[in-house]
Amino acid sequence: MNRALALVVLLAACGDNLAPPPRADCSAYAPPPTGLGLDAAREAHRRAALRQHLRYREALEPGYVMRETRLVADQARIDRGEVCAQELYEVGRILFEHDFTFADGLATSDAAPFHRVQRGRAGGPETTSCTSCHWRSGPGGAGAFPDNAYLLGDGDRISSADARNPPSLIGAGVVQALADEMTAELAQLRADAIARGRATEVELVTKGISFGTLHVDARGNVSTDDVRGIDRDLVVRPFGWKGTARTITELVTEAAAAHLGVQSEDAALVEDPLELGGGPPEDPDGDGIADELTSGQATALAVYVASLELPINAPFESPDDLAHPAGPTQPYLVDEWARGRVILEQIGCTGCHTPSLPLARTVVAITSPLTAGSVMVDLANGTEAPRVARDAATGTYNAFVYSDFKRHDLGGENASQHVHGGIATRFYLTRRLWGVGETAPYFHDGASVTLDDAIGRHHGEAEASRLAWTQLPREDRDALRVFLTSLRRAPRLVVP
Amino acid sequence: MRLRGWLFVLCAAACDRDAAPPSAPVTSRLFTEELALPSEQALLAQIDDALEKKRRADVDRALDALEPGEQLEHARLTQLALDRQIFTLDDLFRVGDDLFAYQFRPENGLGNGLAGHPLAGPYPAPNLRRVQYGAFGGPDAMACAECHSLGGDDGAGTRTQNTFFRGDGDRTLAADERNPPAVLGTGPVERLAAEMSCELAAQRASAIAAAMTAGAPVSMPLVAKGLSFGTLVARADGSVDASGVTGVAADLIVRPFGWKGHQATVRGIVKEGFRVHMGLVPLVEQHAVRDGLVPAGTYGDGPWYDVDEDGKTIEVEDGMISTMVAYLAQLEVPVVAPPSDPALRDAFARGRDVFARVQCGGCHTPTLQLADPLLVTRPEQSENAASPSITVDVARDGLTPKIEPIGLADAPFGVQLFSDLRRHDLGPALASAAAQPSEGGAIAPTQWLTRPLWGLADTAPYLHDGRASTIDEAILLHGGEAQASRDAFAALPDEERAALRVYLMSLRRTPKLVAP
Repeated sequence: MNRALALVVLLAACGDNLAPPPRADCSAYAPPPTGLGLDAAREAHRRAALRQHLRYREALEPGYVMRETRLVADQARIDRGEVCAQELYEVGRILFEHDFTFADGLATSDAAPFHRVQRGRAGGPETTSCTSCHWRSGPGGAGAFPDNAYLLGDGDRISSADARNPPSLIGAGVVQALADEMTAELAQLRADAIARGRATEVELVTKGISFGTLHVDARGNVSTDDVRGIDRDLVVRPFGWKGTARTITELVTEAAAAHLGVQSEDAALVEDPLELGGGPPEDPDGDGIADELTSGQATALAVYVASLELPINAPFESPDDLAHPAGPTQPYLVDEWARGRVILEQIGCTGCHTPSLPLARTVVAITSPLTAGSVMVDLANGTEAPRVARDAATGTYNAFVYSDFKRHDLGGENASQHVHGGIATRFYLTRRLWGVGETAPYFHDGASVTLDDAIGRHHGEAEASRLAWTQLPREDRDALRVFLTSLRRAPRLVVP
Repeated sequence: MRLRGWLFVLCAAACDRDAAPPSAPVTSRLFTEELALPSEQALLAQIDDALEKKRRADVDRALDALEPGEQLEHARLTQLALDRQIFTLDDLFRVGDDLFAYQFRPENGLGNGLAGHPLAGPYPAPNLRRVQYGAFGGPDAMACAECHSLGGDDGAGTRTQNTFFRGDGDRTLAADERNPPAVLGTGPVERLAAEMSCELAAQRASAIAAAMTAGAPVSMPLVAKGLSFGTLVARADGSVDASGVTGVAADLIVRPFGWKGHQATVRGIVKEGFRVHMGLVPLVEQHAVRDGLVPAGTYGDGPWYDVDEDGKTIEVEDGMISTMVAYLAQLEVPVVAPPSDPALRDAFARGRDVFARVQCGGCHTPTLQLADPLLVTRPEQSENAASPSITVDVARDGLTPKIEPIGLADAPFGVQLFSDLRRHDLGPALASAAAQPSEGGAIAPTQWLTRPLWGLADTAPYLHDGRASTIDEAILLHGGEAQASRDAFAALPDEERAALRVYLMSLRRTPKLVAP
C-alpha cells in the first residue's frame, strides 16, 4: 500500500484520538478538589493567592501571565504528550481569569478600543476577561442581563444587534464528547448508505435522537432535504445559542476573538470565522500584537472549560436545624420535585429537552485545529466533581443534559435579526436545562426574568407544549418550577 | 468486522509508534510559587459562614420556586417591621445581603408598564433597556450583585457591566458610560464626607457672621480635614460668593459617591440605584410626585401611587432602603496587604516611596482621619417621621476588616481610602460627553471625584468607563490638575514604575470563602 494512503486510512481509523500516551507522571495528579471540605477550602484560597501573586508578577514584569502560560501550553509539546491535561487545566484556568491588556493583544486596531455593541462580524471587543461574563454561581457560570453580548450589530445601537445572554459553560466537556459521538455515528450512517451502492433511505438516529432522513441514490448522490435540526454536513454543533460551534476549542477561539479582540493562531481555521481584519496572518487584527493567543493556549483554555464540573440533578437540601444552617441537611420538597419531573415529560417538554443522553466513552479529545494534535480529558476521573458517573443498573454513563442537541423552530416571535452561522433566524439549539436554576435571566436574550416567562415564550415547534403548560393547574406549574430551579450547581467553595 | 479489527490493530500500532517517549516535564514558575494560606481554624470558620449563607439562599430559592414571592419576603423588611425594633444589626445585615443578590421581577416592580410611552422604549414590559433613557434610567439590571461582582458581591463591575447613563435608550455611543465602582467601605466614606461638610458649613457660618459684623466682605479660606477647598467670600448682607470654591459644590456639601461625586449618602445611592437601574421607584419619590415636588411625567404618567404603571404601588419603601443602607455600612473595608515574597516586598516599599515622590497622594490622600464613626440613616416618608433611625458604628459593626484606631483624641480612626474626596479637573482627554446633573449643581465634563484607590487590585479595567486595561494606561490618561504627577510618572525609570504598580496591587480586598 502506498504510504500516504496508509496514513490517510490510519488517520481516519484513529479519528481524533491520535493523542500519544501522556507523560508517565501525569497519573500522579489528583483531580482538583471541589465541594465544601477543608481540601476544597484550601484549594480555593490557593487559587486566590496565586491570582494575587500573578497580579504582582504582572505588575513587575508586564506580560508575565501570557509568557509563562505560553511556555507551558506549547502545542508541539502537547502533541508529543509532554504536558499533562491537569497542567493544561491549571494554565487554562489562569488564562480564563486573566485580565487581558492591550499589550497582550486585547482589542483590535480600531481607534476606539471597545465596542459594547459588536460591529458586524468584526466583533467587539466589549470586555477584558472570560470571567467577566461567565461568573454567576462560580467560575464558568452564566452571565447576568448586564453581561449580554450584542452580536452582529452596528457598533452603536443596541437595537441593531442580537442580544445574547452568556450561557453557563459547566459540563462542556461531556457536551462535546456527546456531540462528537453523535457526529461520528451520523457520518457512519451516511458512509454505510453510500457504500450500499443502491438507492436507499436512512433514518438518521443517534443516541435515540432522530435527525430526519437521508436519501442516497444508486450513484452515491446524497440528498439532505429531509435532514432535520442539524446542518447538511451532519455535524452536531452543540455550543452557542443557535448551535454554531462544534468544539470547545472553536468556542474559545471565537469568543476570544469576538469579545476580547484576542486572536488565536487557530482563529482563521475555525469553521465559521469572524472577520479577522486585514492584517498579516500572525496579526490579523492589525493591532501590532502578533500571535495573541497560541494554539496551545487555546488548547489550555479548552481543557479548563472541558474540565468544569457537571451540574447536579437532585432535590434541594435543607438544613435539619434552620438555626444552624451549616449543619447536616436533608432533601427538601422531594414530592414537588418528583412531580415536576413527571410534568416536564407529560406536557412534552422532554420532546426536545431530552432528559438524558448516553455517553459511550468518558474521554473528550481537545484537538488543535493548527496541528491536529489532541489531548484527552478524562471525564470520569480527571475533571472537577461532580463528574459523569456510571449508572449501576445499566452500566452506561448517562448525562442528564435535558437537550436533544438539535435545532428547532421557536417561531417568528423569537426570530433573530441576523443570520448566525447560516442558521435560519427562527432556529435555536435546544437549550440544555442542566444547571438552569442558576442562570436567570433566561432565554437567549436574557429578557425573561422568571422561568414562567421563559416557558411562555416558546413558540413554533414548542407551541403545543407551551399551550399544555398554560392549561396546567397551579400546583403543577409550581412543581415544575421547583424541579427546574433544582437543576443547579453542586455547592462549592470559591474565593472570588 | 475483520477489516475493522485489522484497522484497529494497525491504528493502535501507528499511534504507539508516533508516540515519542515523553520528555521531562516543563518547569514553570506558575507551578512552583509558594503561597501563604489561612490557618485551618480560619478556614473552618469561613466554611461555616459561606455554608450558612448558601443554605439559607437555597432554601429561599426552593420555597420561592414553589410559591413565587417567598424569596423577596425574606429579603425585605418594611418600616413597620423595623419600627418594632426587634431586629439587630446582624439581622439587618443578613437581610440586606440577600436583598443585594435578589433578582427583582416585574411582579416586584422591576421596570415599568408604560406601554407606548417615550420613557418606556421599544420592548415589552418590564421594558428592559441596556442603554438608559435620560434621567429616567433603564431598567438595565435585575439585581445589585449583577453589576458589583468583581472579587465577589459588593465588588466593582466588569467592563461588560458598564452602565450607559443619560442616553437615548439605544445608542451606546451617545450615553455617558460608567464602570460600576465597588461598594466596600461606603460607610466610613459617608462619615468622612459628612464631617468635612460640617467643617465647611461652620467656616461659611463664621465668615458670614464676620462679614455682617464688619459690614464688609470677608474672604475665608475653606479647609476640611486639612485639605483646601478654595476660598469663600461672605458679604455684609449675609450672602456668599462661591466662585473661588474648589473641589466641592457651591453648597459646600461633600458628595463622595459616584465617579463625579454627585451623591452625599449611602441612602442616596441606594435610592438612585433602585430607581435608575431596576426601575423600582421608591415610595418617597412617589410621594414627591403626589405632592408636586417633582415635575409631572418624570417617572411616567401613572397616578402617583403607581407612577410607572406596572401595577405595583409599593416598590421600595423606607424599611427596605434602611435595610440596604445598614447592610452596606457594615461591609468590610479594603486593606493595604503587602506581598509576602521578599523581592515583591522590596518593590512594594519602593513603590510606596514613588507614590509619594510623584505626588499621587496630592489628591489620592492615603489616609483621612475620622472622628465620629456613627452612621445614622433615617426614614424619609412623612408618615414615618416618628420612626426610629438606624445607627451603624462603621468602626465596629459587621464584617472585618474595619477602619482602625490611630490613637488620636480628636480623630481616633484612620480611613486608608487614598482619596481627598474632592473634585478635580482631569483634562479634556478624560472628559465625559456632558455635564452631570447633581443636587449641588451640574458637574462639568472634566471634573471628577478623586477615585478612592482602596481595593484597586480587584477592579480592573480602570477609570470611569473601564477604558484602561493596565495601571500604567490609567495613570498616563490623567491630565488637568494631575498633569504634573502624570508627567513625573512618565519620566520614571521602568523599575520605579514597576514598583509603583506592585504597591498599588497591594490595595485589595481580603480574600474570603464563599459558596456562590
